[in-house]
Amino acid sequence: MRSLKDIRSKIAKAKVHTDNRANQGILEDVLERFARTHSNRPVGSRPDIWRIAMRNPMARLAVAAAIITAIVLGVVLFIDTGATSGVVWAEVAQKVQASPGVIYRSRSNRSDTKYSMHYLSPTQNRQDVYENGEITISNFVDLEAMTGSSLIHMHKGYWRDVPLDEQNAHHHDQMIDPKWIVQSILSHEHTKLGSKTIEGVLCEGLETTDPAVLGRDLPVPADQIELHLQLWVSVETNYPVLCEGNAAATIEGEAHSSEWVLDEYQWDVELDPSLFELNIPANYREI
Amino acid sequence: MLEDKFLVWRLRQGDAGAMRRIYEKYHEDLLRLAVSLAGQPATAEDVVHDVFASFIEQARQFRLTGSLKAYLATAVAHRTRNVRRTEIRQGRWTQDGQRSTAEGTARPDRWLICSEELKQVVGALAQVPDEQREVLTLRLQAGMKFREIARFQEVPIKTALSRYRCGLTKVRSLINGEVPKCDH
Repeated sequence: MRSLKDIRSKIAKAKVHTDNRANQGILEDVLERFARTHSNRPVGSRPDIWRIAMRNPMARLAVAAAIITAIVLGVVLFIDTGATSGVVWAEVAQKVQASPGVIYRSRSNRSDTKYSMHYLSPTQNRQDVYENGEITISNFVDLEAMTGSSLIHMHKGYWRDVPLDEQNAHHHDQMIDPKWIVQSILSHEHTKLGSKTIEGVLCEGLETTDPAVLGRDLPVPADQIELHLQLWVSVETNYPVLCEGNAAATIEGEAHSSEWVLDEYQWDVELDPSLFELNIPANYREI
Repeated sequence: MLEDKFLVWRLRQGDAGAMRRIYEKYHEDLLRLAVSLAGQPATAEDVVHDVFASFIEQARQFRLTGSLKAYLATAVAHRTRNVRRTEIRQGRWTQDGQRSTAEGTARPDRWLICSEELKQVVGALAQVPDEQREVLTLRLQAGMKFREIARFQEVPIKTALSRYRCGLTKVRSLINGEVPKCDH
């Protein structure tokens, strides 16, 4: 005898599948109709940044830069604190966790013309994307309300307070949850890199080459990605100064590679709440 | 939902990749909904194909004000309702709501493959009134809110809730092999 709960579950979860060949035919028909409908659309009006970000699988690795930051910061928890080291790694982890706010810059492929500035607080995130010296997109995430808003400056458009779906929510949980970081890092190997001076600051570094550190939802299986990820920490302050990495993979027979750099860190800062306010210019339209 | 907002925005810019993603993300959910509503895989396949075709026509002007899945699900429900009415007018349905056997014959180019569990669900849903079936499937398969379903059916929310409870009770009775008791 089935209960009402069982019946609800049965209706909600009963599966359908599609025949691959027929499905491909229908999809091709849909795309062909779409192409016909939009064939007179000027190519120049397409949103390049988002298209690139979403369609280039390797760009997804760069998009994961924020996660990488969190993960790499977590790496320090498991480095031994040998007497020869100038960096007290356990203290690094504690300081990073205790920092009320952090600001940093991210770049892909060492671009000097395109970069993002990130402002992270315990409850809010903001990312400003710059290209050729001009701000093109501002993304806001409210981690308490689990909503996202964006100002698309290049199209004078915006959307606001869009609920983050489960995937997004999980993504953000991972980014800020030290427990997740600990669990992830425990299973990843790393090596010490010694010391070097970066922008006049004496630093010590470490490196991991385990692609699993990038997390889940990768465009290819982790063992098909070649990864080098380095973290450099100030000997004097025990705060990270530079994180840089590169990844290469072959996806559907095509070689892809990506490099990213996270730098210009400002730790232990109190971020002004006004930084996270969504001020929509009067001439912007809702997208 | 944030991804859907991006997808719709890209779609309006003419990005075929966004159309592909929307199709891949939702086509199976829509097929399941359609077959649950229509009772026949062939009708469900036509309905979902038509809904995507219609969606493409509107893509350039489309504005997403709620959930994309709910929007597409509502479109499937509308279209299924229209197809069913047309078929009833054309005498392709019997008095007790069953489609004639010849019309239900499987086609060789079948797109949709139902699990045994879904066949059982579809069989039970076919025996409850259309309006109750709509509420059940839109709520449980499309994840729509009762407020949205009530708006779609143009009834007060209490009526939608009542249809849901009654329909669920009937489906349970049918699956348990009992005589349905709800009289609504």
